[in-house]
Parts: sequence; C-alpha cells; structure tokens
Amino acid sequence: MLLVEPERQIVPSSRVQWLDRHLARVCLVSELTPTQFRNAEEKYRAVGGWLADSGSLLAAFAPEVYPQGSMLLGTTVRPYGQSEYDLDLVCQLHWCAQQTPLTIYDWVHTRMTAHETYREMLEKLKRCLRLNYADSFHLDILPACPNDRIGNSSIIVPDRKLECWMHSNPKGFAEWFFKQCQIRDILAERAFKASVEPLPSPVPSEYKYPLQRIVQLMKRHRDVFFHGGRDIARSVILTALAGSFYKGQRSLSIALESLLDGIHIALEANPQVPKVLNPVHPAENFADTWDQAKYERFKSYIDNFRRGLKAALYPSALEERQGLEKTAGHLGELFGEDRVRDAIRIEAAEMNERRNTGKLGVATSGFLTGVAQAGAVPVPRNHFFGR
Amino acid sequence: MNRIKTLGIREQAAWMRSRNAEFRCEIAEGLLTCRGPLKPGPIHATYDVVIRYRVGTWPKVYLPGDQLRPLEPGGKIPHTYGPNEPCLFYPSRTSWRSDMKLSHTIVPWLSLWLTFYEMWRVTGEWYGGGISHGQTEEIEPAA
Repeated sequence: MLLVEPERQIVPSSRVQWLDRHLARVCLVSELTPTQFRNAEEKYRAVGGWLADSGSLLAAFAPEVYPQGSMLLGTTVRPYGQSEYDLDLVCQLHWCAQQTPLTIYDWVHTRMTAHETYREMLEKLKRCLRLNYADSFHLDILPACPNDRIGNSSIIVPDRKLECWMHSNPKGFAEWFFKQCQIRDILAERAFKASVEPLPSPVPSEYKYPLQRIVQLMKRHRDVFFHGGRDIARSVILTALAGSFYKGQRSLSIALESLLDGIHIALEANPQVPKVLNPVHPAENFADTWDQAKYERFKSYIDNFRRGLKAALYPSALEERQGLEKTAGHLGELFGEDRVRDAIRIEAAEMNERRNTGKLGVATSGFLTGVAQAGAVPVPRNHFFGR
Repeated sequence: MNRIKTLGIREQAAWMRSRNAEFRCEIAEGLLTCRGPLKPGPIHATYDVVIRYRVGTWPKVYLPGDQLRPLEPGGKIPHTYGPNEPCLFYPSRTSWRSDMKLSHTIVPWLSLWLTFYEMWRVTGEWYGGGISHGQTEEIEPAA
C-alpha cells in the first residue's frame, strides 16, 4: 500500500515544500501501524466492555471508559528501539469522590481480577492497573472519579503510594489541543475532522492537523536525542509547549521553526527551572520532576532540534551543492537515518507512480514538476539501461 | 512500418535552446554538443551536464569530472556506462527515435536519473527501475 498525503499531486517546487512533504512522510513511517492501532482498539473495547458491563460491581457507578494521551490526540509514534507499545485509558466512575483513593483503585482492581484472563495479566502500578499482553502491547487503566469541585471534565485519580488524589483532565487537555490545532483559517482549506472521539481512526493520517504532525516530530526527535529515555521531555510537556507556541502556520517546517524559536526564547528567559503548566489545570506542573540538570538537558534537546531544522531549511552554498545527501543527513540526525530512508522510499514510489501514469512533467530548465504546471511538458516513459 | 520524420540537427539545437536557456549548444560537423547546468528538483544539486548527438546515432549524456560518486571507492553507480555516463534509455527503436526532441526526452530522463541517483546516494537503493545488460525483461519501477 502506498501511503499518501492529499497534496501528493503537487510536486514540490521549493525547499520548504519538499521539507514539508518529507516531514509528513517521516510522521507516516513513525506512527503505529494500522495493525498495531487495530489491535489496541480491539483490546480497549474488550476491556471497556468488561468494566462497564451490567454485571460489573462498578455498574452502579456508571463507568465511562475512554482513551487518553497520544491515542486520543492522534500523536502516536512507535516506541524507540523496541516493539512494545501501549494505550492509556481512563475508567471514570461517578458519584465516587467521597470514597478514599485506595477504595476506588481497589474496586477497579477487583473487577479486573474477576476476569479469568485479565487476572493473569494484571499488574498494580502507582496510579494505574496494567494489563500486559503477550504481543508487545500493554494497556494502562487509570481509575478516576469526577472532580466535582472544578467540573469541566476534570477528574481525580488515586495515587496508591501517596494514598491521595491526583488531579487530571485528559478530556479537557484534548479539547484544548484540538482547539490549538485549529488556530487560524485551516478549515477554510480543507474539511478536517476535528472531533474528539474515542480512538480516532488510524487511517486518516492525511487528515492530521499540522500541529499533530509537529508533536509527532518532536516526540520522534526526543526519542532519538534521548535514546528512548522519555523522562526529561515527557510527551505531555512537548504537546503542551507545541500547542502553546503554535501560531497556525500550515507549512510543517515553517510552523516547527517558529515554534522552536518561541520555546527557545522562553527557555533562555528562564535560567532557573520553570514550570510547564497544564493549560486546562494550571495547578498542575507537567515539569514537576525537573531539576537544574534535567532542565539543561531539555534546553539542549530544543536547541538541537532548532539547529538541525534550520540547517535543513537554510543550507550554505556549499551544502546546497551537495543536494539531497546533505539535507537527508541533517534530517537523519534529527529523526534517525532509518526513518529518513523510509520516507525517501515513499517519495520514490510516489514519483514512480506519477511517472507511470503520465503525471510527471519537466519545466524549462529541467526541473521535474507536475505535468499541469505552466510551461511543463510530460516526461515520456523510459527504462534506465545498464547494471 | 510507419515512416518517422527525423528531426534535423539544427531543429534539435533550437529546441534545446528554447527549453534550456542556460545551455550552450554548438554544432560542429554534424555533431551537436549542448552543455549547461541541470538541477532536477528543489533540494537537489546543480549538475554540469553535456549532451552529444549526431543524427543517426544514439544521443549520449555525460557529467564531466567526478560529479557522480560511487558509494565506496571503485564502486559502481547503477545504470551507467562509464563512471560518468548515465544510461537513460534502453537502446532500441521503441525507446528513442530520431523524431523525438532531445529537450523533451533526454533532458527530463536525465533529471529523473539524477533524482534517483541522489536517493541512491542516501539509501543505497535504486528506485528508478530499468533494464540490466543482457536482460530482456523490463523491470517496472516500483510504485
């Protein structure tokens, strides 16, 4: 199957256009595969059904089960250097905030152990219950109660260690994120799907907002930069910063550059460890585990991304003469050589498709372009000869 | 067999000049030599290319100097005759005929070849398809 973007009929005619296409392809080859996504969805539905079933002791509390995090935001990336992937879901009960945190945790635990299969796979973690599946997949179930004091989809989540309630608002965060995605007139150009749904479909990668792509790119670069270690630059920090500094540009490379500049300036203005506040719950600091050393590493991560991207955007005259190889080198350092190779493979396949269907043209000067471009003539079929 | 209308060497030169303004074209004793810069795409290098053609022969293309580089010293670049001569088409009457314009065939094929060459430099894989020497089956470029 050929993974394609809606703009595929456009042959890039500028460096920015080429970079935008390439970055989108890096996202495509970095996402969970449709099979992984379907697998996660099936298991999520099964577990959700078990928790919400009328025979469940939880039924009296009208459990509502929904995914949170990257699956909900459409910003998944395949984990770095391993095949294990996961899905976080919230099991939100109602009329339960008067109970102790441990009681709520235990109720959900009891329900899960009532299932013969789940019982064997279950692991108790600090704030969630983890189901470890055999096929490199795990599902984290976060017991929760509504936060009636704050309302607006705010929840409280038991912390088993501290025996207290932690605040969270995954639905509110997703709403905020999708609002940021739609900054400016993007809807005028294409009817994007903007709803917050349980597990958005895996296929419409082509319907992703630039901001979703940007978060995927930041996460992928984070994984490469920290060799898979995620604690310093948690996904939620990257998502919150990206959403806050995004100005609504359509071009991935231009939007990313301006957003990294913005973050860079903000970090430079804060020599001491700053807070990264949850935009929908400002009492929550996403960066509460940062110390000075971690903060410095986060700064160097942003700086590395910014420099690498600018190198790809603004080559020196010497670099320009080195063509794709030089640019691919910069991108490989950011996102990993394998991802850049895969993206180039897709680019080649698209070019061949155009070539085989008579849609590839050549402009005066020999620049390859779309056949509909003014002044372009179609490239006739040929077969390169020789070994 | 249908007769084809062979383009004269001056016609070929005129088409080259009109499509590729930066090329210098000269005709000496029936041999057309066009030389100029070719940049196949927005992030690609600019190549100094030479196209040579005499009516009744196959057009020839080469890149002077060491603009084309193998992956390792002494290595082979896919679909080339020598170290600096891309093979743009299978030499048969169905591939290229003397009624075809160099500017509409050889130049775009060279741009395509250079595009695939630059991809090959990065990934070590040739995506442009083609026919190997001694092979009659055509290999479709993969889409």
